[in-house]
Amino acid sequence: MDRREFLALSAAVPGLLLAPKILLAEAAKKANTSRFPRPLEPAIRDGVKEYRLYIAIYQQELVPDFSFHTLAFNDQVPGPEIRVKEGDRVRVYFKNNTELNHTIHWHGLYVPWRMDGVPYVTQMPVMPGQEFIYEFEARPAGTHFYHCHWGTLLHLQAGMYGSLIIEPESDTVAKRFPYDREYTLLYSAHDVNYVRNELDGMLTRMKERMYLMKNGRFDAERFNLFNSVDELKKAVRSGYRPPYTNNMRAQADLPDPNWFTVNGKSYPETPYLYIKTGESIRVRLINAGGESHYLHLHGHDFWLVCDDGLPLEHPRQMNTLHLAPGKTHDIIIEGNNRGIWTFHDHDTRRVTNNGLYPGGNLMVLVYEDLPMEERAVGQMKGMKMEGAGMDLLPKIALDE
Amino acid sequence: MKKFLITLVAFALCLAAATSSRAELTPEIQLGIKGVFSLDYARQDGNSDTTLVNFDDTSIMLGFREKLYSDYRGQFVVGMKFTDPDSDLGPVFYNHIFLRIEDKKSDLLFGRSRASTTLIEFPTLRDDDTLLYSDILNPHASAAGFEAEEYQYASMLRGSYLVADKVWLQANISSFKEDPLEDFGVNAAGLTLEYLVPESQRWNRKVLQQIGFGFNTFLDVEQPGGSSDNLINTMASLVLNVKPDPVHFWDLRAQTIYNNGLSGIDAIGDLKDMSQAESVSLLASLRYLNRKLEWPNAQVALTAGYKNFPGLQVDTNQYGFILNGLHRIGSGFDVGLQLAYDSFTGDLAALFGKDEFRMQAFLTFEFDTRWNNQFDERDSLLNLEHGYIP
Ligand SMILES: [Cu+2]
Repeated sequence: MDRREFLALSAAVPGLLLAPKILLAEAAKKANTSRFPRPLEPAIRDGVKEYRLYIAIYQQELVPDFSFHTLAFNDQVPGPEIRVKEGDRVRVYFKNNTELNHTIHWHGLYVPWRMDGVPYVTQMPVMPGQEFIYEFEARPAGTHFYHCHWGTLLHLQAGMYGSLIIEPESDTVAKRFPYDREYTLLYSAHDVNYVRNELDGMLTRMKERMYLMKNGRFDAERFNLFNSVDELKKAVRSGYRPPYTNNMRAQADLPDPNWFTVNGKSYPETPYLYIKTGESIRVRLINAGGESHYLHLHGHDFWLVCDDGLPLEHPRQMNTLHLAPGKTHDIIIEGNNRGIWTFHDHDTRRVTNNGLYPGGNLMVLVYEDLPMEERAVGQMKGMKMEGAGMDLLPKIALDE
Repeated sequence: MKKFLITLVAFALCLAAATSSRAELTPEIQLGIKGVFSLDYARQDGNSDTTLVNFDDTSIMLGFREKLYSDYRGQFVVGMKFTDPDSDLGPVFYNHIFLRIEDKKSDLLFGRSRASTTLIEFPTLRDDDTLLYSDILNPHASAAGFEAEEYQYASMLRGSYLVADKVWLQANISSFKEDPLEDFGVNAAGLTLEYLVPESQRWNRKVLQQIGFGFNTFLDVEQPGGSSDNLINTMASLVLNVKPDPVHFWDLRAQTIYNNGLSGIDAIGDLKDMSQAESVSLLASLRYLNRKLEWPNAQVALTAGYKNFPGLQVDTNQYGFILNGLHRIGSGFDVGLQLAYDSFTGDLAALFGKDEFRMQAFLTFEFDTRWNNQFDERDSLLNLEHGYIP
């Protein structure tokens, strides 16, 4: 073996885990329950549902042996799921346990404007160590989400998002499509190098700023706050560099996502959607990232029933759905074609982990009632599968 | 020049390979450049001398690093330095050529790099401006011409280990350039212990930034009589934040070196004698750094050194001052002025002249970048304060 050959060996293809006998094992089903956002339990005080959210730096493992530093609500990416009834009075205590600034924006909700979480527009940023109390009435019903609105380009893809489900008084979707179970899927796209470099840069700058703040020397110029365009122009002439000039930032490039997640995990850690023949499932799709996704389900047409949380008067059938950044869609999948079916972004660049296929937001719809005789993957003539270490054959089918 | 051209071609090939779509892992590519240009005026014992362009210390460094299969990282570095116009080393000196393997707590370097003959850096225009005070001097270097690179760089196997929070223990065996070059074997060994606050955490620190101890022994140093002995040097250093203010930052640094000397050296006739004679040196700097909107804006530093040779027949010592100031005129671009004065007595006066005054007007440019960035520095705030990710 020469040196070249030895080097070539190191480019091995990762194995796959979508064999029926693995997917239908009880252990897999049990593990799968942790792949969805965990509900946050409220305390009820004077008829108000009170929630506690805190933000801290956390390490999120996207796939086994690959982690990155994130900003996580309650040590979870995505943050915990807040689920309330339409019209509920909600109070959220938001504690900032990081050395960075943050806010929470309630995406799609009719909150009072000073609860909207846009720094310097509706409120001052929630600074290191501070707590801010958000209070609003849960309206309108539907699938929504919450996310940080400070340094959104960084903070959002660094993990600051979570689902917010407002259940209606009477659910028109359930009436028309009685469903047996429901799943929440939050999509995101992360440039982990950008997140790391920017977080490092911001932490470094904030240490210095906190020092000045403690000494009462943090001036308007350092806040990047100007009362007029003329003030800004004057500052620029005396050496102030606005954030949009390169050299103010840790890095000048825009993020170029290299990891794509569903509920904070990339394939093969993405959640499975279990279904049974004759069942219907409701899937709440939330795009909390900055990339468009074209979600395609094999072997079925699903019903699009809600757009941005609002029920559609005329649900439509389709098998590929455009989930744009900031959008939420609810779909109903009817269990009418048993098997194991992939559900993935048809912009297949997002079915990669750091550039390697398969990965990213690849998921599967799994029929739990798949009979034993159908659990063996399509055999090839002349090829002995059993005991030949070929249990993982579906990788061929996935190689579109 | 030919060596330089070949290197550039090699760089181009490396970059081309990095963009090809082979299935191999593409390492992270690091580039660091430093351009140091000055107009020098020197006055020595009444004679003046002018150098129109001095670009000594101008250097280019390329690094390639990747994660290994374990939690270690591997790195290859090649760096070259453009030398004095009159250097015996040729126009280009490869000051860094090494492989390095590191993890959270350990660091192994194998190759040529900066020798462990000093513990800290001083705020002078060029790295060798204070060499006679700041570095343990290499007795294996050429006796004739003074080439700073022979003192600053060595081939080595150097291991460092983080024995406690911020405390590094480092050991090295090194091979310094021989004169004449006849042996590439080990001719020095050293050990250092250092408490060092990472750059990223300097605002958390009230006073102490660095404290270090080290010793180095040069092996089989030839003595005037023909026999050979080991030459032992010990050193200690200290860096303090006088005022760790983000706008008006003051720090103080000092280092002392004690050279045991070889027996029988009672006069200094050349550079070799100087490195082998018993000596005590002390070098200290006070620095003021003005920062504007989180970036360095201007700096003024005063450095003073003193060195005494107690074992000589003639009372011999040297002292010097360096005062410099610089102003940042663009990202990485500085303009400034450095004034230096050195005085020599006894045997050194014969070697270097009684005194020397230098004035240098300079323009410098520094730039660092990375391509194909894949992981964080060991000393980043995320890795230090929020859990290390290999
Ligand atoms: Cu935030």
